[in-house]
Amino acid sequence: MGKSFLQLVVILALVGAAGTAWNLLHRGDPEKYLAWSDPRYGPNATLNPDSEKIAPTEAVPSFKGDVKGEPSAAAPSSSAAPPAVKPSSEFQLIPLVDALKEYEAETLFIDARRTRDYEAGHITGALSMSAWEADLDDKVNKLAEEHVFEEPIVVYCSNSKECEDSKLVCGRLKARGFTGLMIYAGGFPEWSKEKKESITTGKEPGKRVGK
Amino acid sequence: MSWLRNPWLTLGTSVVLGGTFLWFCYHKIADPPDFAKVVFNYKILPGELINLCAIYLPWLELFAGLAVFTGLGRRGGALALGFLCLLFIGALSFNLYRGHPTICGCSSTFAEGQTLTTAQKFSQMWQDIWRDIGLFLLALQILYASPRAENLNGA
Repeated sequence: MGKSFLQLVVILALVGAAGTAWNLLHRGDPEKYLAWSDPRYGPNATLNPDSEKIAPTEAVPSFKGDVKGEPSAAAPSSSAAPPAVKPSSEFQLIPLVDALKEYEAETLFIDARRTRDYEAGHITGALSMSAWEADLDDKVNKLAEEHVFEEPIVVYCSNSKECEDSKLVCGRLKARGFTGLMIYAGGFPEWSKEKKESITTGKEPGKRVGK
Repeated sequence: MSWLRNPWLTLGTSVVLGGTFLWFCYHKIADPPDFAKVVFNYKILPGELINLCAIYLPWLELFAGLAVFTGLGRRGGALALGFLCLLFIGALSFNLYRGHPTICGCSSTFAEGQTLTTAQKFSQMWQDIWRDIGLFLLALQILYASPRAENLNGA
């Protein structure tokens, strides 16, 4: 057993050295670097059965100051009353029809997928904020300087009903103080089928049609 | 059971087991955030350990795979790979038991696994468990057939 144990110790030492070196080598590359210990995947990231349910269209709260919940196109998003984020359901999942309304109201969209997926195609105007890349906190802090905390934000990923990237990003945004958080349930796959004209490729968000 | 100690069988087993883990580790080392997502998707580890697991586990697969494949430290490598197989079997079985569809992430990226339906994921989990049991048996064969140090000293 002594020889096997010694071999195992040597392997583990190599693993420690190579893993550490590889990660440090990619410190400047958020697409490959991982923080050594990252609590972002902790309590906010647990599966919440309530958050899996897509809210029906009529139940979507208005962020335009309309108490009945019907979106008012006349009112700009910036004058919105802060929406109540229900703690039981954490973040509200919205269907395509509501995502389109928010898009037309020039609500900020955030793409929670990997940067390479964002560059391959994203909703025009959406900001890239990957849940799994090391610069997430920097991007959240930058957004906090530029965006009003109470304004609505729609987060999407590949398939928000199942994948949890949107929820992870929403968790970080909520922790930073943002309150108007919604998750577009269909995500990019659905949008790319229904709204092909509102897709941009490359690193830049792009400008929405009509802006 | 002397056939289990056949050096040609051990050589073949080492190539298959070591080669499989060398293949497994490649995409994990190339894209650590993707593997972190896979680990997170298991919903077993606490948040603080997910990145550490994603940083070091692929390198354990690499060095243990190399040790078995090349024969330099075959027993130590087989011990590590056997342990990893048990770990994967346990994690997948636990998620099957509690009905949580999991993308194994063993030989493919999270994005590739995400295209599967829930039923396909459960089916794939069973396949992954049987494959890991097979790999575990290969590791056992290497441990059984490779001479221990004390046996060599006594010879």
